This record gives sequence, C-alpha cells and structure tokens, in this order.
Amino acid sequence: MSNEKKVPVAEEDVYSTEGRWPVFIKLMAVTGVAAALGELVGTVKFPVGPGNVILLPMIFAMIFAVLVTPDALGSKIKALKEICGEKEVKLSESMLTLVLIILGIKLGMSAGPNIEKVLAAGPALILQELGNLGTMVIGLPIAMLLGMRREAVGSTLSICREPTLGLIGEIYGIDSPEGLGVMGTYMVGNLFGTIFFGLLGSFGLLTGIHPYALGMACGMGSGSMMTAASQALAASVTVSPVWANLVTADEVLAFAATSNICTNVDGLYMEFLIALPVANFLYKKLSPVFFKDKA
Amino acid sequence: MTLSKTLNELKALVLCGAVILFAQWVNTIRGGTTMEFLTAVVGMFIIILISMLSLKIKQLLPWKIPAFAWASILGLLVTTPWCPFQQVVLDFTNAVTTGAVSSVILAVAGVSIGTKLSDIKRLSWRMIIVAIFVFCGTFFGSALIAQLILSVQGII
Repeated sequence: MSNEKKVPVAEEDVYSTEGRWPVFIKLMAVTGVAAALGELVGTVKFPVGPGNVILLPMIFAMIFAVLVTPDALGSKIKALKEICGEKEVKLSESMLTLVLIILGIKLGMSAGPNIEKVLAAGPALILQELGNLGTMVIGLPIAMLLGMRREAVGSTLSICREPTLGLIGEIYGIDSPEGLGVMGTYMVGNLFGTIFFGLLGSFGLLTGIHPYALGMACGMGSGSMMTAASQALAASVTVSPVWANLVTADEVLAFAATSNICTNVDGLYMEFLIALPVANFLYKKLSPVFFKDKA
Repeated sequence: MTLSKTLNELKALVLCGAVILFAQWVNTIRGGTTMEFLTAVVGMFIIILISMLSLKIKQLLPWKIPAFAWASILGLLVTTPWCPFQQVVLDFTNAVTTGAVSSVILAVAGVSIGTKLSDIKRLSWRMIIVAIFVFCGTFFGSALIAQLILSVQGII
C-alpha cells in the first residue's frame, strides 16, 4: 500500500464520524424502523391472471422511509425534521453505496455455488447486454411521437443513472436538450424506478419468459432497481405453480448478479461507443417521419 | 486512502450490518422464519470484511467499475466449489438473508430521495411515459435476447 500516488481531487471522507455520530445514529434508527415496519407488514401477494404479483417487505420499507423525509411528512411535522433532516438525507446517499455492496456480496454468493450453470449460460449473459439498447429502440420513437426533439436522445439513451448524467454532461452539457432529457429519466427513476422494477420483476413472470432470462434482465446497472426487480422475481418464482419445481430462487439471483456485473463493467463504455451513436442514427432516420411538417 | 478514512468506512459498514440483522430479527417475530443469531453475526462480519476489500480494490484501481461490481465478483469467487473455504463461508453467510439486506437498502433509498420529492412538480407527463417505456425496454430487451440465446443453447 503506497501513498505516493496523488489522487487528483482530494476525496472528501463521506463516512467521517467526526461530530456526526448523531446524524449516523438518527439515519440508522430511521432506516432500521422503516425496514422493521416493512418486515412486519411482510410479503403481500395478490393473484393476477395466471400467477401472483408479489409486494415484498422492502417496498413497504421504502414507502415508510420516504414518508418521514423532509419533503414528505417532514414538511408538515416539525419534529420529524429533527430526526430526519437534510443532513440525514445527504448521508443516506453515501450509506446506500455501502448497503448495496453488502447486497452485491450476497448476490455474488448465490452465483458462486451455481458457477457452472452461470458459465454454461455465458453466451446468453454477454449477448443480453445488447438488450439494454431496448431503452431507445422502444423509447426513442415514443418520445418523438410525444413531440420531444433532442431531449428524446438523452432520455432514452439508457436508464439514465449517475454515470449517464456524467457522460451526457460532458458531451452535450447538462443544460442542453439532451441533458434535460437525461435529467428527466433520472428523476423519474429516482422517484418511481425502484417501485416500478419491483412490480416488473414480479409481472415479468406472467409473460412466459423463462426465469433465467428474466433474472439476467434484472441486472440493468442500477443497484436499488436491480435489487427490487431480482428479489421480486425470485420471490415470485418460489410461489409460481409453473416454475417453483424447476427453478430455484438462488439460480435467479445468480443470473441477476452476474448480469449486473456485466452491466457494471461494460455499461458506460457501451453507452458511449454503441448506445449514443445508435440513438443519434435512429433520431436522424426518424426525424423526417415525425417532424415532416415542421422540417 | 488514509487509515482514518478506512476506519470510518468500517464503522459505517458495521452500523449497516447491525441494522440489517435487526431487520432480519424483526422478520422472525412475525413467525415462519428462524434466525441463528450468532451464526448470522459471524456471517455479517465475513461480509463486512469482503465489503472493505471491495472498497479498497475500487479505490486502488483506475477503472470505472463500481465497488458494487467488485463486491459481487469477490462474493462469487469465495463461494465457488473451487474455493477451499467455500463451505465455511456459506455456512455463516447463509444465516444472513438477502431479503433483510434488500429491505434496508430500500429503506435507505427511500430516505435518500427525501429531498427530491419536489422534483415531481418539474416532471412533465411526457417524461414519465417515456421513462416507463425506457425501463420496460431495457428489461424486456435483455430478457428476450437471453431467452433466445438460452433456448438456442438448449439450456431452457
């Protein structure tokens, strides 16, 4: 371990406990109580068509947590702001990284014992990465149909998490139409992404697509969204009359974990080298179709 | 990469671990699940140890690969049948449930959007519709390709 290499920007110690113990304790108390309440509500399942849609404790935990934040009940009840204020929210963003790492390890541990199955499915795992381009194949025409111009390219480039914000910010500037598009999908993802993928993971099974393939689809580059999707899918598989005896929850998680590793490794490069050129190409080809009267 | 920074990361991870074990314990109150508390505590310490390793790998390597990915890779490596201590690791870490970890993640994620709720007023309905198609696009895009290749391979 050498300290000779100078880090270009002195990174701030986001986990510094100096003078911040109360913030740590309050945040962990709030999340602990929210998670506990979620666990107490338990798993709710309701039948839809041939299967079940499952709401896991985590979804309720999230809702309870959102409720106590400064923007929600905190704006009405002053005492709540004392417990969960701006400082706690700020710290929660850093703590999220850590809890996600813990989950990453647990998911890796469901893949390890299944490594032979995962390796056998290698070609599918690698090629399904191209499926992430589905965001624009489906999204771009819809966005243009709704009257969006260059915003459409940004908003449908990917699921638009922080790395995409950085990429588009660098190329077009975050105030450009493309940047505004990315911000839009980013914000929708923040607010509804996790809950939406929590439902999609469960609904996905009703399409008849094999749980292995759906598992791979869960790794899409966002930690909390992939958590929601893969857990909901795994739980749905175990209660599904069709799949319960054929597929285990651990196998589903194994494919989700390895697919997510792939997306984490190739994600940004693929966005820059493939997704952006394809989006610009599609935009150019589709413009005359959608905007012929105004061109 | 100073010692105090490493120590702070460790403290924060221990806090996270404690909250996760608490959530898992609450789940046992509802009945239906049991929890071997001591085994789970040891399992959590193993997980925290690997977490620290992931953070350090991420900080030491120049590649833009998140610590989350390193964590999955390490977790995978130590539990493959080729790893000499696979069984020991699994015996302890299996006592920590993924479900409890997920509940805590989403609780923290819930708090983290706490100051962003007002964004909702800035969002147009167009954005919401487009985002829904974007989310479905990546999910079903990947699922369909995987389905195709897996059936060509004869795996499913």
